Amino acid sequence: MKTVLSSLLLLLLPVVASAQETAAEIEALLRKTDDVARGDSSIATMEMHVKTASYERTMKMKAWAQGTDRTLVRILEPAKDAGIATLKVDENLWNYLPKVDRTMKIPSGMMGGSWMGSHFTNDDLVQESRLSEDFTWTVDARPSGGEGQWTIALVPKPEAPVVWGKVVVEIRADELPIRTTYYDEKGKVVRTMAFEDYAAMDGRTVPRVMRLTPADKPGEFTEMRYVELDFGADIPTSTFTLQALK
Amino acid sequence: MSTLLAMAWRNVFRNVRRSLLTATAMALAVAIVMGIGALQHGMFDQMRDLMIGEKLGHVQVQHPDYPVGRRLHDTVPEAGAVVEALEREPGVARVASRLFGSALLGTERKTEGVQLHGVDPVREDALRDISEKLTAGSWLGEAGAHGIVLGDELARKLEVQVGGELVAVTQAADGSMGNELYTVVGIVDTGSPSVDRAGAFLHRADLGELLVLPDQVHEIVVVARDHSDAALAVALEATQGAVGDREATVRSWKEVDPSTAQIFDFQAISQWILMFFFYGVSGVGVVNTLLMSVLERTREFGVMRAIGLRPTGVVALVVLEAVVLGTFAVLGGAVLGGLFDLYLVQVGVDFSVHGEGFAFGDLTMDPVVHAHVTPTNVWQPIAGIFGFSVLAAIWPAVRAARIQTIDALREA
Repeated sequence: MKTVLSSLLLLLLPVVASAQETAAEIEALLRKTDDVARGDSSIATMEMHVKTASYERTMKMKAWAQGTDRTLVRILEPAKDAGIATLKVDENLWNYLPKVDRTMKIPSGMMGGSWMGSHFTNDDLVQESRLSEDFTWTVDARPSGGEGQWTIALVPKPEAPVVWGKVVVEIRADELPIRTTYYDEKGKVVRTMAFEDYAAMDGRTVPRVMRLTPADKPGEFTEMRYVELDFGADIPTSTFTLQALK
Repeated sequence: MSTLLAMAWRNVFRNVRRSLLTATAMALAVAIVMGIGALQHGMFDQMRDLMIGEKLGHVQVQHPDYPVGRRLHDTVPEAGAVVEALEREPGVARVASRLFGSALLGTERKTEGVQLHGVDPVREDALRDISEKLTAGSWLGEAGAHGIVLGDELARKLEVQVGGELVAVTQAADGSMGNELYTVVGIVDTGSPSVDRAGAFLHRADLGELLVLPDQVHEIVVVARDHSDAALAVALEATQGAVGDREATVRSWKEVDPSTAQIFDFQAISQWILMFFFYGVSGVGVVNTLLMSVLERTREFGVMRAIGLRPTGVVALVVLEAVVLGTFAVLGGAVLGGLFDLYLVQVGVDFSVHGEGFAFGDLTMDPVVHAHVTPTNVWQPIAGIFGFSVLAAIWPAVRAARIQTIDALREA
């Protein structure tokens, strides 16, 4: 009996070992997904294409980021919106409106509202949650021998500041993201973020296109495309102040 | 016949006290039905004026999808042309058009999510006397002046006064970030809690510019010449004509708000219930009086039959007595009811609870209700009470006609 048990244990041992190995690996993978196209600091030029049932428009914008706490986005085109800027410092969000030369703080009640007419909400800009920290994960699929992909299902930890019921990330064998699917508490798909057009930018391979598709509005989407991306730039902290916003 | 009338006249005054009591009860019934009917009419008129004047209009024009989704893009095009065409229609008393949009409104210190009401300042004021509800400043002026009038509660929350500047930011119809600076020209207490708390008025053209919806509106409100169904039909037809083949639906307020329409239907029913109650009571009084008088006069009727009066003559006599009694009662009632009406029209009834007006939907009604006297309010109770008393006389009359001469004379 004892021998049977110990041989069973012996049989189990490699499985446990490989799972532990995966844990560290998975967390690194999630961290990498969290930080895709985001270094300690970055300066990016982007094009945002928004298609809704009633309008379709493209905006060009420049974004400065310092870690995840500070972000400044300024609209470059079209002319009508040029100069409008959004400043994010921690959980606070301000909009600067050059036409009236005023800065307005977004009140907490409006955080669910659309950001710049896109399918991103103001909340998306300030949310602090990280896949690698605020979720518990299970691996549904893993690549083998450079083939296939990772499929990881994530459920938010009880105290995590997350509005989703579940998030499923799909990651390529080379650790670049493919798709993130967001579910509500009832398990219904709310929206999908797809990554495309992988290319080297400033020495890193990143997906140049992120496309957000809301599940409840067929035919609508918001697509962000990196035109230029500069990692590790030295951005003074004074960039992220209300004075600089103007 | 004139002999019968003379006899009926004499008979009524034979027992002055009894006749007077009955006539007084009938007169009071007339007066009460007149007064309460007029008061109820006044109250429903006030409710109707509020509902239709302030909110619904008699006829509404909207984009076919707007009533369901209330989406920014579902507008009626060429609003200016439609409104002007409507104003030329004789069956249309007033027209107003409104554009709505939600926005972030505030200063650098305070911001609130608000509902912006883009209105035609002059037409809106003609429709609902909104300038009389201002607590400070003035009503909106010309387009392009970028004036804004705030609900009083909202002004308090934003900590602004007349003359203050506010920024409005919204997502315009083309997806751009509409933003503009406005000057607070007035503060208003509309009586509608939702508007006072989070509503702001601005010129329709100014809001159209902010939302990038030029010359477009979410609703056109048409007020007919009066509240009658006939006037409504005329206004509906005129509106349909003015709208033409533009993509818009034309609906009567009864379709827009069926539950309110039901309340007004209930008015007619409750009026009927009230009337029949009082008519019944007064009819019973007449039956009682005449029956008593008939029973007392068994011998008299016996004699009349003996000297040749036919049973139909007896019936006619008793009914004529009711006619005489009813005429006096109704005349007295008309005078009494007239005085009652006069008081209710001039002074009205204060229904206020702790000095507050009462809410009707999201509108607040003036707590003092004044009666509204219509010809129907006057002739209906008069004809009703009179008619019911004459009808009520039939039973005692038949009873009197059935008196057998022999029995009657023997009994005495």
